[in-house]
Amino acid sequence: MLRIETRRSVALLLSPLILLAAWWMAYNGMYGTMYEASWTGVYIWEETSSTLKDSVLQIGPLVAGLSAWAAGRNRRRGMDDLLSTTARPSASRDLATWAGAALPAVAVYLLLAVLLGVPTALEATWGAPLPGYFLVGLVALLMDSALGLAAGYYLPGRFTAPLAAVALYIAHLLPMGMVDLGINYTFLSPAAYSNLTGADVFSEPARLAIQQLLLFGGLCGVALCAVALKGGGARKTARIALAASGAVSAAGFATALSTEDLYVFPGSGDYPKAVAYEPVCREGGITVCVHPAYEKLLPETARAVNEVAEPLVGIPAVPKYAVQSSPAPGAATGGFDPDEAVFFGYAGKLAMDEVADGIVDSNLYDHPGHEDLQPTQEDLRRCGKFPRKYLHPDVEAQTVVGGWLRMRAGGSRSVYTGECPNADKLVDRFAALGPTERRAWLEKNFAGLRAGKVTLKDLP
Amino acid sequence: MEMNVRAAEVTRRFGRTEVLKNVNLSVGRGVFGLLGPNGAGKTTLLRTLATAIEPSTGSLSLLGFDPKDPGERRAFRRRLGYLPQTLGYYPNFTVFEFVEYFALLKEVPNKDVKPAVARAIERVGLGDRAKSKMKTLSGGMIRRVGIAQAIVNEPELLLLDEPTAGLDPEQRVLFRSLIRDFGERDTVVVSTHLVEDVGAACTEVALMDGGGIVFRGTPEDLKARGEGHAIGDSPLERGYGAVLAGARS
Repeated sequence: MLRIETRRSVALLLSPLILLAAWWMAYNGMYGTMYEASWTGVYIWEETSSTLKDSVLQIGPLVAGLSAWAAGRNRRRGMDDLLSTTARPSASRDLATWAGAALPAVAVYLLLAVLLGVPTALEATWGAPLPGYFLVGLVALLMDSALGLAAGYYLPGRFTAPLAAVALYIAHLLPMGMVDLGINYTFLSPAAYSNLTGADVFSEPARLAIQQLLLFGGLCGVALCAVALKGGGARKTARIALAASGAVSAAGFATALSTEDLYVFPGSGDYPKAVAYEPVCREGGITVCVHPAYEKLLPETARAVNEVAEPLVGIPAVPKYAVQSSPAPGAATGGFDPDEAVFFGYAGKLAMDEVADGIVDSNLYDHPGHEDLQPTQEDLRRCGKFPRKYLHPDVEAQTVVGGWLRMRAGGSRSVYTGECPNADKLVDRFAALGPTERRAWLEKNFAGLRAGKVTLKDLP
Repeated sequence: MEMNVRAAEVTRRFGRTEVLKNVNLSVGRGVFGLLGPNGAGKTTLLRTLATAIEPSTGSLSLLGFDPKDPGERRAFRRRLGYLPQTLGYYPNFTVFEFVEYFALLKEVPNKDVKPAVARAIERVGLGDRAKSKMKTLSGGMIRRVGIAQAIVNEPELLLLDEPTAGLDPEQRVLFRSLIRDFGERDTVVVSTHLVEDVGAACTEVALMDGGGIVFRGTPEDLKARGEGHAIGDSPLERGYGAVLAGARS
């Protein structure tokens, strides 16, 4: 039965496509960004584990749709009458249909685990695999498939499959979106509780795997029992199993709500489970320190940081250290004095922009999420309309000098420059100064600039 | 004579409509024909005997099993062959896969599945099309595949609902021969509106109308009932018309 069901499964036919989609999303999604430039080439177990788990976002809804299609097939083909008169219990038949749809997806998931896990095992210098993440992804995949099967069984129409896929995709994303509304049910999504990108080596992941396994495993059981109930046969057994599965799922839900990990944002400064580590450093004009997981990128990082800081060498108040830290807002500074250090989250060339911003602004990390850099009503009046790009009065001068540092080091000119006022022109003007004049201005004003006491009018 | 099918006061309702009305029926070995106009209740009776639906009231004994008991029902279904009036199929299955699927569902022992499937396909004359996909077959061939799946488990009770619909004359002759073979060992119940099928293959016949059985006897008995009746091209058709006219008068 399983052989026939698997062989005729649409999921089997589509498995190369599913693998391709999952693979593409996994690698582009790694480090939480779709931008290829941010791929640093450093493999980290937690990122690999969470990337694998999060691939359920793509694979899960797809396999749910395929299961729904397979489940509705008998009704659509007018086979119900004939099938109902066969000896094999309908539950066994439905289980084979489910397995036929789910197994190719599970195979894709396992293959993806190998494809991501092997290079990580060979190259990672920090951490260990997270089996809880692996299992949450696997069970969520089975749950999605079972929910799709139930949907197709109860509503065997042609539109059930795409609707089930879309509904599950939304269901997986919705809990994470609800956080912004103050409703923290993120554990309802298998993609939740991955550590903040880049923060994973600095703090332990949230420990909700067991709760999520109970929740998703229970829901998987509920869906399968609902199918068994609809199919007839041993109704009493199915009802008992349904109640037991519901209880398991409810237990997962209730215990998740009561864990302390529920209300924390992994990787953030107030996260209590920071991981101790000894940074690896390279001395230079500025001493650059990175997390040992990123040791491979230390030379490249040191070169990028010193290219940015090169014009400032020897000027008092210029930080002596550039230190990799968790990119989460308000993250711990690893014991470095913020007056003497500039912090960056992403190692390698990506450190360049952060260092350029941080080196001219000692208060950079006091602007969590840059929320207080949003335009005020006064700013809007001043600019006449909402600026496409915005330069806040409090950091205008710092942004100009930071933009110049970035530009001369080969990075982007500025992040916050634009229309009101046009800081690009100011950066160009600062860059056009003679080296002696600029150095003299920097020696005189850098401490004030870094403290936020220099305005646009003070710029040469 | 051992009765393989016993129905006692069987009634089946769909909502407020009573489709079967207190049907009493006993069928032993041989080929038993069910005749009747559209809506007489033939298909519902066959579905009930096939355990696709349960009777609203009354009792059944099928091959000595009580279908109300899950264990006995399962045992009965292993020995049942059923061809529904409308045969659904999976278009991408090959003929062999389709029949194999039902062999597995009927719990034919694993080691016997492949030879049983090959034998069933051969018996309906589709040996050369075993690897053809269902979607490439004509309507008559699909009907024959349906018969193949019904006989793949060598059933002791074979229920066939309009089995000859869509078959060409040559295939119909072959089919009648096939069910006669089955009837010599087992019980075959054939629902049909083609009275010539009854004449050629059935050892006994019942005529249904309005949800009840209005006649039961041999084909010869039915022919005898038609003597003196004007409507019909053959003695059986005249008998059929006479019985129906009598039942409705």
